[in-house]
Amino acid sequence: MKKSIQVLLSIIILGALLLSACAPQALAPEVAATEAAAPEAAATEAAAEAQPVTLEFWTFSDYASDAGGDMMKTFISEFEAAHPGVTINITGKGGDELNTGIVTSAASGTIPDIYMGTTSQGALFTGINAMANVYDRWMAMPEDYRSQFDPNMISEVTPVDGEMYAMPFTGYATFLYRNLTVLKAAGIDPATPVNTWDEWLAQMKQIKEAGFLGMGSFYNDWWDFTNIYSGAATDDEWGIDFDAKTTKMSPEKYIETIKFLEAAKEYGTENGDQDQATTDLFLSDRLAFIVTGPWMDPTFTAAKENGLDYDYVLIPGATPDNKGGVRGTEFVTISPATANADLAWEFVTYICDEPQLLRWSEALGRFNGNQKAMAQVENSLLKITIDAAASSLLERPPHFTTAYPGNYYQVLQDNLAQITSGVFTPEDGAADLITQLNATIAGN
Amino acid sequence: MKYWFRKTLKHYLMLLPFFFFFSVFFIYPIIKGLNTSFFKWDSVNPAVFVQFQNYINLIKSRDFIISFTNILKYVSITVPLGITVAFSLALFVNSLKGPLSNFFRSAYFVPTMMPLFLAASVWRWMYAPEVGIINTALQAIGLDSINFLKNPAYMMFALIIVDVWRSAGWNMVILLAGLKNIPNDYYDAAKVDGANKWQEMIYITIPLLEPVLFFVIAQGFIFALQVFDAPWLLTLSTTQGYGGRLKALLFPVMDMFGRAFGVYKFGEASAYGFMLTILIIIITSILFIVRRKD
Amino acid sequence: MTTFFKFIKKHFSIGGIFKWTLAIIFLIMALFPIWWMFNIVFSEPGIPIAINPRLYPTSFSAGIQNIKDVLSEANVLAAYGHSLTYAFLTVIGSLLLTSMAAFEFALFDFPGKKILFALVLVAMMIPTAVTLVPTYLLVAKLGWVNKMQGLVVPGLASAFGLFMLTQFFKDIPREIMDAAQIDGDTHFGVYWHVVLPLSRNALVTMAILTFMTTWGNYVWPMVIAKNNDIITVSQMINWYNDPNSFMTVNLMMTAFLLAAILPIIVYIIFQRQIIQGISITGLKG
Repeated sequence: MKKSIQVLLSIIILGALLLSACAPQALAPEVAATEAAAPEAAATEAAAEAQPVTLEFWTFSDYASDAGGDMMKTFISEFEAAHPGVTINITGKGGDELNTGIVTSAASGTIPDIYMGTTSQGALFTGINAMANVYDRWMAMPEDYRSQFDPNMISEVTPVDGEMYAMPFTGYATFLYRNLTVLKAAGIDPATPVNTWDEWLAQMKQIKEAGFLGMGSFYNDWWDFTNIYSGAATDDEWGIDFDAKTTKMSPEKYIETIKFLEAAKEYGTENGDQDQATTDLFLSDRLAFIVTGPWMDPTFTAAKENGLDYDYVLIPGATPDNKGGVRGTEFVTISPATANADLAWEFVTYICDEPQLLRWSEALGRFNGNQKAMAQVENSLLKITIDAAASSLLERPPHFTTAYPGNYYQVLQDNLAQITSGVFTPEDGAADLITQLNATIAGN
Repeated sequence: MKYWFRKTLKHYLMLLPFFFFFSVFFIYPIIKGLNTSFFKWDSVNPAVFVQFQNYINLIKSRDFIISFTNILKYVSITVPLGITVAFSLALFVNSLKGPLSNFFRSAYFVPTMMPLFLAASVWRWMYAPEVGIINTALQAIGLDSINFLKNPAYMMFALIIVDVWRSAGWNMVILLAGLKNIPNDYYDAAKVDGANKWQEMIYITIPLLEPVLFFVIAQGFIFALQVFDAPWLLTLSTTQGYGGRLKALLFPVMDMFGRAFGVYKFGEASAYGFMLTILIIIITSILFIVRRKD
Repeated sequence: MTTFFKFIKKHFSIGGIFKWTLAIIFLIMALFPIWWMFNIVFSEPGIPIAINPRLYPTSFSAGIQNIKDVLSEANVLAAYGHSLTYAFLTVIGSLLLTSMAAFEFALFDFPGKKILFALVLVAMMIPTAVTLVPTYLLVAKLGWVNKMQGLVVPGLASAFGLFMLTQFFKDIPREIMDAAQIDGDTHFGVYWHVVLPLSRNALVTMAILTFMTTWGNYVWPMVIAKNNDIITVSQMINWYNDPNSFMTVNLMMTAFLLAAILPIIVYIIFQRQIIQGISITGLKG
C-alpha cells in the first residue's frame, strides 16, 4: 500500500517533469523579456546611459531572418558599437502574430521598446495606448534629416498636426505582371501600352480567342478587389470618414469596377488573383496577367530558368490618368512605456537614415520611406513600386485614428460574392453595400 | 472503517491523475465557458456582465442562422451517404476471400490515414478550375468546367465528397469486423429456408449488425456536427473571412472560432460553444432513445 | 474465343461485373488523390496540366529538387520536430493516465465507479471543438500559449482512450491478478507488472491511434501554436495553403507529401494493429 503510493507519486512527478521538459526552450525568450524589462523600469534614463541596457525590438519575421535579417543585424551591431553597453534584442514575428503580440503586451504592460507594424493597424495600437506621440522628437530632428522622407509617407503616420506616432520604414505597392509569351502568342505586341480598362479588356479578349486566359478573379478578397477599384476611385472615395461615421466608398465607382470585372470574367480564370492556381497558370504560360506586389518577383525570376518571359507595368485604370493598386506602409516606433525612450528613438532614426536605407534598398530592392536613399538606387522593381505607390489606395485609411470595425471588409467581401453569384445586380449591390458599411461603422 | 478506507483509497489514487486533468481541462472549461457566456469580454478589457445578451445576439445574427441551416443540410446528407458507401465497401470486401480481401480492405483504408487537413488541402487543388484534375477531366470530355469551391451550388457537395472519401475507410473497417462477427450458421439456416441474398440482408445481416451500425451512425453524427478542418481549408478561410462565397460552407464551429479569434468576442463564442454542446447532447440522446424504442 | 466467353459467363454474372466495376472505381477514387499529389511533386514544374495531367511521375530529379527546396525552408524540419514531440508526449502522457484509470474501471469495484464512468461516457459525446474557446482561455491564463505544454496537456485526459482501454482490460483474466496479489504485489504493482505487459497489444494500438489523431490535429495547434518557434506540421501546411505564402504548386504539393509520408509509413508498418484497433472500437463500443 505505502509502496504503491510512492510509486504512484513518482510516476506522476515523472510525468509532470516529462511534460515540462519541453518548456524551458519555449519559455526562454518570454522569461528573458520580462526579466530584462523589470530592472530597466527602475533605472532612470540618465543612469541608463552608463549602465548596460537591453532594448527589446520586435520586427517582421522576414526582417529578422535571411537577407533582411542579415541587414538588420548589421545595423544593430553598428548601433551597439557606437553605444557601448547597449544591446538590442531582435525578435521576428509574423504579421498577425506581431499585431496580437502588441495588443497582449499592451494589456500586460510589456510593450517592446522598439517595434514595427503595418500602418493599417496603427489605429488599433493608438486605441490601446501602445504608441508614443513622437511628434516633438521628430520636430527636434535637423531639417536635412527630415527632408529625406517621402512627405506622403510622413503624413500617413501623422493623422493630425502635432500627433505623429512612428517613422515610416518600408512599404509596398502593387502592379501588373504580364506573361510576354502569352501576349506574343495572342498577337499582342508587349510594347503596346495598356492604360485603360477598355484597352486591357480588348487585350484580354484577344488572349481568350487565342486560347489563353486573361487574369484571375478579384471577387474573393477585399484586397484583390481594391487593386482594381483603385483604378476608378480616388483617395477621397476610399476608407472611412470617422467623424461622419460613413464609408467614403463611391457607389458609382463600385458599379463601374464591378462592370469591368464582370466583363473580364469571361476572359479569365475563376481562380483568385492571389491563388497558387493562378500563379501556376501564369508560370505555365497559360495566363497573361497577375496583379500582385514586389514579393512575387523572386518566384518569377526563378522561373525564368524554365523559360518564363515576363515584365511588369502599372495596373490600368478606368481613365488613362488613374492607375490601380493597393499600398501599405510598415512603420517603426517606440513604446510609450519604455524607460529608454531617447535611446530607442535614436535607434529608430538611425535605421531610417539615408546610409542605412540605401543599403537596405540596394540589398533587397524594397520600397521605403527615405526618398533620398531610393533616388540613388537603380532597380526596376523599386522603380515600379515607387510609381505604383503614387496612385494606389491605402489599406485602411485613415491610419492612427480609429480602428476599423472587425467585419468591415467582410461586408465588402460578402457583397461582392452576392453580386457575382447573381443575388444582386451591381446597382442594388452597391446601394446595399453602402447601407451595410455605414451600419457597420455606426454599430462599432 | 479504516480497513474499508484503505481498501478503497488505492482505487481513487489510481484514478486521480486522469480525473485531475479531466476536471481541469474538460469539466472546468465547460463550466467556465457557461460562466463566460454571460459576459462581454475581449480578453484584454475587464469583462462586463450582460445576462443573456450574447445568446440573444447570436440567435439574431445572420451567420448563426446560416451556419445552423448548413450543418443540418450537411449532416443529413453526409452521414447517410458516408455510411452507405462504407457499408457497400464492407459488404464487397467481406464477399472476397484471402489476400484479395486484405488488399481491398487495405487500399480502401488508405484515405483515412491522411490527416484531414491534408485531405482537404489536396482536394482543394483537385477541384481548382483550369488546373485541377477534375475540371481538366470534365473539359477533356467536352463538359463545362465547374467552380466547385466558389459556386455556392456545388460547395456543399464538394465538401461531402471529401468527407466521405476520408471517412469511408474507417467506417468500413468497423462494419467489416461486425460482418465477420455474424456466425455463418445464420446464413446456412437461411439458405435451407430458401432465402435470397436480399432477404438475408434484411433479416440477418442488418439486425445482427445493428449495434455496430448504431455506433457508426452515432459517431458519424458527433464528428459531422463539429466539422471544421475541411470546410475551413477548402474555402481558404481566415479569422477575418470564413465560410466561403455566400457563406455556403459556414458551420457552427467555424462561426464560433471566428467570433472568438477574429473579433475577440469571447463571451459570444462561449455562448456558442455552450449551445453546441447542448445541441450535440440532445441529438445523441435522441439517437439513444430511438434505439431503445426499437 | 468462345472458350473465353464461356469462361466469362461461368465466372461472372451481370451483377458481378457491376460489382467489380464499382469496386474498382472506388479503388481508384480512394488512391488517386494521393497518387496525383505524388505525381505533381515528381514532374517538371511549369508544364500546363492540359499537356501533362500528372497521371504518372515524369521527372525524378524535379521531385528531388522540390523536396530539397522545401526542406531548406527553415521551419519545415522544425515543424516536423514539433509535431513529433507533440505526438510523442501526448501518446506517453495519455496512455499513462488512461491506462491507470482503465485498470480500475475494468477490473475493480469501488463506490462511485458507475457515476464516474458515466461521466466519461457523456464526455465522449461532447467533442473537444465545443470546449475550444474556454480551454483556450484557460491555457492562455496559464501562460501556455505558444508553449509545448499548451499543446499537449489539455489533450491528455482522453475520454475515448479511457473507454477503449477499459474495454480491452476487461478481457484480462481475474485469476492472474489475484495470483499476483497473493504473491504480495501491491495494487500499483499489479497494474505495472501484470496488467500493462498483458495488454501490450492494446496499448500499442491505442498509441498508434493517438499518434495519428495528434499528428492530424489542426484546430488546436492553430489556436495555441501560432509562433514560429512551436509551429506544427498542420500549421506549416496551413501556411503553404495560404495564397500569401507565395508558394508555387509543386512546392505546396511537396510540403503536403512530406506531411503525409509519416502517417503512410506508420500505416504500412502497423497496418494490422490499426485495423484491429478500429475494428474493436465498433464491436465493443
